[in-house]
Amino acid sequence: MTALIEACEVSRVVGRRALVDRVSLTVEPGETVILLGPNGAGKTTFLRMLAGELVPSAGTIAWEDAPIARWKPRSLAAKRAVMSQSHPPTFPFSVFEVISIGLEGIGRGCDRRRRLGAIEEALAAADLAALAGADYGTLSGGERQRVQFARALAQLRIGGLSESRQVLFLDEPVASLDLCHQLVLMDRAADLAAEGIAVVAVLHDLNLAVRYADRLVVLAEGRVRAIGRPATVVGPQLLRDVFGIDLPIGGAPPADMPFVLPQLHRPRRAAGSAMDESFSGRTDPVAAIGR
Amino acid sequence: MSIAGDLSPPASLEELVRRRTVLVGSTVAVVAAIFALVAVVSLGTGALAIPADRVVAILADFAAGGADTNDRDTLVLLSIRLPRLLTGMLIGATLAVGGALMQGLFRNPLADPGLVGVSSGALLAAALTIVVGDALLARHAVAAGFVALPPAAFVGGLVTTLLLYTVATRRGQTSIATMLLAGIAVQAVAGAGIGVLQYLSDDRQLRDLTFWTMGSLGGATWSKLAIVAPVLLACLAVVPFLARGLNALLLGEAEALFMGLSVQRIKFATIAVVALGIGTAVSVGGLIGFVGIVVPHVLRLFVGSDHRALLPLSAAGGAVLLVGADTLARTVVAPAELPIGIVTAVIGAPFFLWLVASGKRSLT
Repeated sequence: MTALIEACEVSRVVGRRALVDRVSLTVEPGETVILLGPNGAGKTTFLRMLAGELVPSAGTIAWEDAPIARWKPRSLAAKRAVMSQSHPPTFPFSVFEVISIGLEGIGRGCDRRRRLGAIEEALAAADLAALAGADYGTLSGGERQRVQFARALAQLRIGGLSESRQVLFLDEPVASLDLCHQLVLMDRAADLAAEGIAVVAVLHDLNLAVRYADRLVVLAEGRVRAIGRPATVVGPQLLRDVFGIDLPIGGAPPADMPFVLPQLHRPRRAAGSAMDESFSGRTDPVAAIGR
Repeated sequence: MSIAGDLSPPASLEELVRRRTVLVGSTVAVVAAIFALVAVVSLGTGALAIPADRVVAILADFAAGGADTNDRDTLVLLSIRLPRLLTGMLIGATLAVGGALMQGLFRNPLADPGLVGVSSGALLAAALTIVVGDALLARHAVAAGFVALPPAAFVGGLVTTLLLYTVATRRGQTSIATMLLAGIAVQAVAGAGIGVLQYLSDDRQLRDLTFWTMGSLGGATWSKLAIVAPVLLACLAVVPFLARGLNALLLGEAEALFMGLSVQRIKFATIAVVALGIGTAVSVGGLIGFVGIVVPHVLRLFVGSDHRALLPLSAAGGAVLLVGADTLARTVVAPAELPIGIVTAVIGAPFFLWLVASGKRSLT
């Protein structure tokens, strides 16, 4: 069976800066690929190229062996749904309307009951059943994010009627969610992966990424710095080199799952500053407790 | 998690859909009722008052093909007021729909058709025709200006829109933000040009220009209507097909693409319809402000942003507002006439303010 998505040496150059620099990645059905990296690493740009929104400056992206430009917007929409990073408030729409608008492109052929069924399921999955009639503009950032997640789910369901091999793209899906909804959302994504839908997500939470990813792709300055299973990728070396933080990796149960505790973080001092040294004892609460 | 298993939608979503249908349906009924009322009043009001029952009877005869052309009421109603009413309806509908389309395309509640350059281009071309054309042609044909004015305005509007569209389009993608910025620059240039022409014009030209800038339906006749009606009707007929695309655009351009829509096609079609429709409307009635802002907003307060309901209702609402305003424009200072733009602003703005202030629903 051919790979669902195959990106080969993909770059995106804006002005003189390479936002994404020769990145290759294949995505197979049912796997969860999580993109990690510091701000400005090119994660979102790469995701948007995979999803077909941005055109690479160099390199090729193929979906099911056909160049992505060859796909009609509508057939691509049946194969993938995208939850973007920002969700600006718009003109007054209800939550239900926002989700049903998401089905305008591909849902026109299918009957109304089926559409309503998909919307209902998506609302429930995003824990939004009680907010179906609420004005989208009055929702909090986290609630809006869940509406966008529900929209993507509904689109996948309707697209699934004609396409069995699908991908869900999530760009920082849990950025403003409370802890409970972060886990709920990631669990729903994992359910989809179990059904055979590939999930490609950008995350900033290392622990969440490690918990849910089949494969991690670590980007920095547009390049792939590491790629592979979470247990092999996440280590002190990677934290230091890519994220510039010095933290030990804990070995949480289950034994092979690495985790990072930000509580162990100590602010770093700029070297040689007399000011810093004279204040460091008093301003560092962790150090103070340690004494 | 399979939807193949249980397809029965829940009562609550069905209930939401049903409530929405009732809401839209009742709004349509209210607008239709107001329209019928305004139309009958408009046809009956003027130098020659015709009672409402006579108006309805004459219209019924006319529809049946048996109008009595010797009757004075019939003559006034059919040859003067009816073409003016129909022209007002079409222009009002086009202006309001143009406003709704632009607000959707620019995702900005303050957008109006002027943003794509139609109005400034049309106005500059009209001013040129009135002032320069006068100098070239006039002496032997005072009417020449009035014949040349509509086509000149139309071409001016269309050329400006094309220019803006070209400037804002790179590699097949039209940047809406660039178009907005370029539109402001073009408006400034056109404004300067009009200023120069006003400075150069004599008293009569200045009055022509002012009247045209504030709009009038005074020139409406069956023969003019026969020329513009097909264009305006064609534009309005395309509009419902833009509704779904504009809904999607309100969620963001990238989102619309991800949903499987051809975003560029939606943008092009919307701009083309607005340029053609508004260009035509302006060429007949001059610049009539405020309809494109007030009508869609008032309706959004009632039916929300779904363009499938908003666009047709805006057409009807625009027709109501313009016909009503025209009736006032030709009766308030009879036998003279007020420019219709003054009336739309004077009755539209306070009503709009009241609605916004009453805060039934947020606008953005």
